[in-house]
Amino acid sequence: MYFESISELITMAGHGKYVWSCVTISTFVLALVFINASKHFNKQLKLNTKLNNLP
Amino acid sequence: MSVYQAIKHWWHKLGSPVHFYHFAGRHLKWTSLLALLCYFTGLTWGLAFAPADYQQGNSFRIIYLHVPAAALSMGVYVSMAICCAIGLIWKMKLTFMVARSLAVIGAVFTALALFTGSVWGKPTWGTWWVWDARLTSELILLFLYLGFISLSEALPDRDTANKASGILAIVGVVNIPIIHYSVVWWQSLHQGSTIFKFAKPSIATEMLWPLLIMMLAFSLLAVSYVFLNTRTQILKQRIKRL
Repeated sequence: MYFESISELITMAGHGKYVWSCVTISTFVLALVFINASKHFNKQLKLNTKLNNLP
Repeated sequence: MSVYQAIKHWWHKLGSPVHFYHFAGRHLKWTSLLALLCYFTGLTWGLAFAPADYQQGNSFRIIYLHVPAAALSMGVYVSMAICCAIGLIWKMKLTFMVARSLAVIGAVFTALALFTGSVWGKPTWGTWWVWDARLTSELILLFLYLGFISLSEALPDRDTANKASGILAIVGVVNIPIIHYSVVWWQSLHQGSTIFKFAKPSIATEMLWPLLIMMLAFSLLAVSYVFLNTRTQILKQRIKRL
């Protein structure tokens, strides 16, 4: 590891707040987009199955 | 079967929504798993193991999210415009569905590129935002994506919506070289190209590898999203017909 300790990795010599906010928000947004798309797909699949017209 | 015939056969098969539905279903699990693996490997490598930049210090680590998001925001837009052109020329409805999926993930990548760029700008330039050519043209790209999504959803007739949004996507391609060359054509606070240029990348190998892995991760995320969302649209269309 480039950093000597975990606390150094978190603070990143004062740049931690910029780096970690980007990491957290980007990962959260991407996860949300995929979870939402999966939910939407499952909903349509259920509806399709209900109408007895499986692909 | 000749190569030409094989390509023609594959092309016709891929144009069928039913075939695409099954093809995407078969590959979605692998593209998603690989995307996740690359995302966390690249990010861990870039954040914890890559050395700090000699000028920017540790804030440079935002590159591992900013550059893939920005590069893919442009790549996805070009792919979307190509899909629309194919749809308009060969009247393939499936390509419009793919274009609509690409628009959503492209808009997300553009928003992330703007956000991470803005956060990176604060410790590097001392400001969150400047009305600089690179930043402004990337913001226009976000508006183009949002315009495409709105137009394709707003018009009740599907064919008219496809035509109108397709033309917007094709016309909007002019913005892509403007974004890419903005740092060359105009005075800009934004740094020049690091890897997308006709020369050896101006980045150390230890920093480059995690960046390439993150580029692959974002590309696979885009492919996975297109597979998932296009399948949803195919199902929706079927349900509508019932």
